[in-house]
Amino acid sequence: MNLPAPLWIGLCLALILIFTFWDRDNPRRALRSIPAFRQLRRTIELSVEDGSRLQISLGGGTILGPEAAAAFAGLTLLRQVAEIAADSDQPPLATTGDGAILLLAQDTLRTSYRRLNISDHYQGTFAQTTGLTPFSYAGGALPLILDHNISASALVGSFSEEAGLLTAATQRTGGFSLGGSNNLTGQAIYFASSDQPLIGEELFATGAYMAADPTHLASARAQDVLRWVVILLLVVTSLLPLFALQ
Amino acid sequence: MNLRLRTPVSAAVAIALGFIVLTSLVLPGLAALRNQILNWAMLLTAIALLLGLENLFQVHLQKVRTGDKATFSLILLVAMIATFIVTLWEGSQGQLANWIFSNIQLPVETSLMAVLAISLTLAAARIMQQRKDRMSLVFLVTLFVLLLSAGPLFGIEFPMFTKTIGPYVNNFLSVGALRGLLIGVSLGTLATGLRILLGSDRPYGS
Amino acid sequence: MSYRSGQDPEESLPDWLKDLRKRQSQESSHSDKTNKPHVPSEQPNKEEPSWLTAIRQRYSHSETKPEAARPDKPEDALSDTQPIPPNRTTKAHSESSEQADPSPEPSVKEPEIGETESPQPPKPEIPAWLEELDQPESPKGEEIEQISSQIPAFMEGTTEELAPGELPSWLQAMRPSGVFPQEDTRSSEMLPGAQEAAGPLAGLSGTLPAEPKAIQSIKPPVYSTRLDLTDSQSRHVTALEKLLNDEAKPSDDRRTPATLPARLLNTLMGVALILAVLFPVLNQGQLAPRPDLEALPESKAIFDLIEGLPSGAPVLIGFDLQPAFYGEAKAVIAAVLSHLLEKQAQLVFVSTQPTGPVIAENILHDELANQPAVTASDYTNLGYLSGGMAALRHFLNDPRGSTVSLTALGLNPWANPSLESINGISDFALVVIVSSGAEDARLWIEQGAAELPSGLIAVTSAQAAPLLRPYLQGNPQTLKGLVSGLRGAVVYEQLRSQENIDSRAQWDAYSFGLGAIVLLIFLGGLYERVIHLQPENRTKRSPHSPAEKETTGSQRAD
Repeated sequence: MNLPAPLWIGLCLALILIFTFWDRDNPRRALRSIPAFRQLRRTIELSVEDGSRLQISLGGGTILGPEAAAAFAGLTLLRQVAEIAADSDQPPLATTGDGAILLLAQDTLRTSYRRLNISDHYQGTFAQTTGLTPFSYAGGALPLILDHNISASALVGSFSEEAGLLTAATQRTGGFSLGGSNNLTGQAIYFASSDQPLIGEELFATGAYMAADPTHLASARAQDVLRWVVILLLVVTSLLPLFALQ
Repeated sequence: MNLRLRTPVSAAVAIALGFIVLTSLVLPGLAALRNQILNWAMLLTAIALLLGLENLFQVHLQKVRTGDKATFSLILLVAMIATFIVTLWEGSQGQLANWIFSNIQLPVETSLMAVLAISLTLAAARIMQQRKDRMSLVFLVTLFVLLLSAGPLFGIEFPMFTKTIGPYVNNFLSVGALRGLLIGVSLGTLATGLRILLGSDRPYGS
Repeated sequence: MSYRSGQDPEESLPDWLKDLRKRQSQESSHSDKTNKPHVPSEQPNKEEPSWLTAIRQRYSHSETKPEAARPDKPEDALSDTQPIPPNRTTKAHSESSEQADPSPEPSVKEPEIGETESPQPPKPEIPAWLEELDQPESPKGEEIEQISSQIPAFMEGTTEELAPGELPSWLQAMRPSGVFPQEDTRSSEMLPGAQEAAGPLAGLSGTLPAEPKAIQSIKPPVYSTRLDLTDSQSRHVTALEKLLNDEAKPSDDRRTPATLPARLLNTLMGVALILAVLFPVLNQGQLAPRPDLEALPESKAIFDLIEGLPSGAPVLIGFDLQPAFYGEAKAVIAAVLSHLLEKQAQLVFVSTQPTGPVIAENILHDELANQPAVTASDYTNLGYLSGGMAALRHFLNDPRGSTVSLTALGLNPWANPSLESINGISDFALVVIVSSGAEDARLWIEQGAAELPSGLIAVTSAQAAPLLRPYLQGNPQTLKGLVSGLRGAVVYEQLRSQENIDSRAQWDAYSFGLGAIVLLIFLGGLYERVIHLQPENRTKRSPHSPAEKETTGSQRAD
């Protein structure tokens, strides 16, 4: 059973729209618990309290590929973190390995500062490109983690093997590390080396769990429903040959 | 230059272009328009790459000015300018540009990869100390099985692993798990793309 | 400020301080005059400064004669520090109880009895309107009915008609004599003495005793807080307690930086790995057995595809290798490329990574410099396609159009006569993906497999191979062949009946490195366990401590 791509797109779109309007009054009803986000929220609050800095790594990749979705999840997280911690003593830093994502990160931070009415505190260097290949990016981000009183690193974006260097550096400073990547190698490395890994599609639920707008919540619920649809299709297509044999 | 488009305009442009590219997969008549849009996107991405370099330059220039680990930043700036000039002069396949790449960038990145091997070995050794649960145990057991099946250890091969257990894990268990993860990632990517098309997710600011 | 020895310190004072001293002395002398008669015993020490004397006097006044201590002039700045005059309480016995027990009493009002025993306080000045309220006029005849509905059950005026100790008849009729229902059993625990024996409260149980001392002597009773809970309720309580305990541990969220044992372990692991890899390289003995050819059928598929290529066939190579993987992947890439060059294939390189074209040149000139096509530069490098997947999609749609920018610069790569026949991607005889990670290879497979009748093959780093297996095993098979890592290189050389000395040495080093990693993970795990079992380290355990991780992990597993 091979459903064409437009059908999947249409189904997903319909589910998002339905959940956006249907569950507007009780949006958090169906969200399951993801410990990584609970831990991250607590770490953000503690970092603001003790005056340490948060670092959001948005990874490499480009905005014109599938890795862009992971970078957008990272940007959503950056916005949430910036709106909480931008007016603290140590405002959050964003690092990226791509020029286009850098522009988006700068725009996200600028918007957050403007919302908090502290636009004059914003500096362009709060978002940095530390390298343009995965390992040069990680190499450039290492001094930031080690030297800037970083208490937590959220590595949310397109990461591969280089993620291991960043999580190791964060652990060395005693900080908290959350890792989420669309890349399966990156996910495996996060599972072994980060404090809280985001596995599979959990990365794309970042907006919903970090208290963003209702569409994020609807999107997370749509993903859950679609996953069940896929499971059902897999089971049906597996059983069909058995019945055909009889 | 400080060009700022109002949010509704930028949102409308983003949604319209995304919609055209998406529908071109269904409507073949839009293929030419899609190719044109992709051409623009490629050009803009290349420019963004240069802006990324400019940001890297600015950050380290600021460090040199403020004296914050200025030596390293100064080295980076000099190397960056020199490489840029050389590559611009003789092209990326020129002799000097190739020498710089082969003798500076390649060894540095390969060394980082070697450091990563050590870091991951340490992380694997500590995983049961840091996260005591069933999945960590499964992870560790699978890791051992795959390492034993990846080749001979100290010159000694374990046929049970290299010929029986290893291929079974590689070809059946891990492939099933990977497909599940890939499906999850694909669904997440699809949902994110649609959120952007709906205009509710605006990575371009709001 | 310093002054010379022998000099009077007062002389060295600045003028403003001298003025202040003078003013203070004048004020203190005035205060002495007004307050002197009220200080019976405590004479101020002559050596004390005047301001301290004034404070002492003020305090002594308030303790001895509270009324007289009230100054007619506004209170000075220290007035707030004066103790509260006892006449503010109006109860003599409560005054004494306060002295005996300074602990704050509960805000339960004392019975009115105490008020009758207290000495009459000096009558304060009451405004005229308040005095009128104190002496109410008797209501006139027509107002009686209206007022009667508003009369409270107990009026202050009526109590004056009763002699102390007498009870009204209605109250006597209500005397309990054991007919009241027993109160809450806890009252008997709280209050000793079951019933009042005498007085107006005789017969009532659980009454408050009149004597404050009796209250002081009561030990706080012990209550039973044990509740009868069902198993389900107990589980909920336990869950709630755990939740609250977790929330109340914010300080645990900071992990201590890497300790010396952890750093030592890190360093030792690094040294051990380096030594393990160096040993076979220095030894140069072929220690590790080569893998079986049957172990990697997907490598044999690549070999067969290349063997079947006609001479001079155009082959597109998507070269997406990261610099970090150059060391590992160059052996396998060189093995496949040399095979292609020996078959006189016309190689065309393109990359979606900025460093891809440079690494391709590097491999050609470092590893395959002896090939005639490399020496004669008989290959085409289309360069870097900026834009990731979108650029790749565009290239697959229109290979010539996507490299138009290079043409504009006068560097037309398509000018090579051997590429005249290439107008679309399907014109290539074979497409080879060279990639370090699975993601780049996936892009090519997902975007291009449907448009390539000849199919795709992949040459990758070892870490990408497991992730690409779904495409090898899929139906239809979108990936025709795969060769990866050092193992793939050794197998491929065996297929070609060749043996590269470098790759052989690397294979031995790989074998020893692999063994060292297995050993280190095992020993490192033991070391970590021993270190963390020590008591001093248990207290410094990380926040994301095993207990917490166990919770989160099990949640995830569930």
